[in-house]
Amino acid sequence: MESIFVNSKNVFLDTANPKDYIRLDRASVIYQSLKDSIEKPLKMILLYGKPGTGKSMFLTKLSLDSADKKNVFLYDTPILDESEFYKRLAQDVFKTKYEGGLNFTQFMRIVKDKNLNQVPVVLLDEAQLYSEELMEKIRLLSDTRALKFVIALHKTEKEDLIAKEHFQTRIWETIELENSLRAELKMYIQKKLMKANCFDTASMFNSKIVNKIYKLTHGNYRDTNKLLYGLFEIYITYEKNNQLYSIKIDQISTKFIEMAAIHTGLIDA
Amino acid sequence: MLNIQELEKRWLKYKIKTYFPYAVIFISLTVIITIISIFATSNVEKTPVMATKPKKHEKKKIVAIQSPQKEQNISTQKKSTTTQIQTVTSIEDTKLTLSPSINFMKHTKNIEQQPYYKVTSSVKKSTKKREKIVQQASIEEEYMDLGEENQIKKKTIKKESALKPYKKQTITIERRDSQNDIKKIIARFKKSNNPALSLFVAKKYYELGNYEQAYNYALITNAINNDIEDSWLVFTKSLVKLNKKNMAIRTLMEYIKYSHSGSARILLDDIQSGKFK
Repeated sequence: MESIFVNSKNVFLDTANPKDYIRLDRASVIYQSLKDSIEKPLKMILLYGKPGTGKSMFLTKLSLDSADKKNVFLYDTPILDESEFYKRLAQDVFKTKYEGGLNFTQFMRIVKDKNLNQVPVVLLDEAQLYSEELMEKIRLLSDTRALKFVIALHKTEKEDLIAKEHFQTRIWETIELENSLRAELKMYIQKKLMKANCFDTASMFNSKIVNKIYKLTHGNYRDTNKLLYGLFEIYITYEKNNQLYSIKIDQISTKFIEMAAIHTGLIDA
Repeated sequence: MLNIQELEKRWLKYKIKTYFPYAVIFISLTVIITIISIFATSNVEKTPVMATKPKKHEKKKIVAIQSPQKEQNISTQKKSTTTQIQTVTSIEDTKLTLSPSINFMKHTKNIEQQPYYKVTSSVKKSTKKREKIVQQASIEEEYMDLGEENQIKKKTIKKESALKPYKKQTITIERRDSQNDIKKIIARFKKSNNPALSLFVAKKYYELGNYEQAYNYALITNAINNDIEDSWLVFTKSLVKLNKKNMAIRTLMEYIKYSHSGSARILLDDIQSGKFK
């Protein structure tokens, strides 16, 4: 029989799998507003927030949820080469294979020629990695209203500048994602574990333990996942070494949380 | 696979680092408290000495208040009204006796109605069990009116005031019959042999018409101190009243030779002219 800690550890693998999406009240409201924004005649939608606040998960889920209704295309890895970017869009969105280099003018011609009934939605993750020149081209493409872009980027000073320069004069909507609150974090952890049938470990997270985790991660989902992954790894190691007898099982050990935080770099020791 | 031993070492290091500031604060607080307690205990050893001082101070305070009382009573006598007197706080029973000052003679000379004070102060402790302990202090004042015959007034002034919320004192000033007073003063004179007291008795007897006693005490006063003019005057006036006019004249003449006193000369003229009988 596999240890409960092994299953629990796997729950917190840092992936953007929409199946692992946890419905939290606040996040659900934001997600719904993002879905509504796509229906609106907007050229661009800006989704921004600190790393680990769930931007990628939102885009992935949006892509999955809209797969049967709309032409939604997700690019979770930035295509940094401009020609390659146009070629991928031409191929995925407009079903046009193009041999050799493709420049902006050529791509614009393809867009006008195809003139699709339903405006395709292009989801660009990690948009802060795109060059300013390419971002300007994306802005021009959105102006044609032949393509709709949802751009997810990190909230930094630099990205704010990009937002100002490229998107300020466009009709666009901004949606900000934030870290979870304490109560949300407890629900997030417990729901995530219970979704994977790890009821025993879910009950080990009381408010005191969640507060401790919140202090370390500030409610950041990615940091929380990392920390809890490390935590259950420690539990597994102790279990293997038959050292768990000295540890309380009815609740998560704060010592283990601190050790996991040291291991993941959340505590500088 | 995690290197748990290494991780535990890092964790231990982290915990020590975390608790270090608290440990420093705790140690420094302990040291401070220890130092304070050492100082406190050394002060406690000194406290008995400190505690006795306020008692002395308290006594002094009571004595110091007596003289304003004296002055206040003079004005009280003149106005024949009751006057409030400052309240004296005392924890223990105290009896105070004021001896007549050396300026007594001047007072009796200048102010005919100058009273003689005997002030006693006692604090009565309440025997009833109360939450608030009320103490009463009474000061009895006795005086003799030298100017007017048999004009003895009895006055009681009581005042209760609460300097402290649970302690009250009452000061009572009483004037009593002069016959008793004379006896008391004679008794005191026998103890102290103070010429001021004997002169006072002589004057008082003279006023009461007991010229023999007035003569006697004037003579006693003169024997102690022959420079007191009043003793000569009371002596000669008593002689006149005892129908020994010639002797009085001779005595006054000798005194005038010696002292060149104006008052004695006026009295001599009055006796010789028959104005004073």
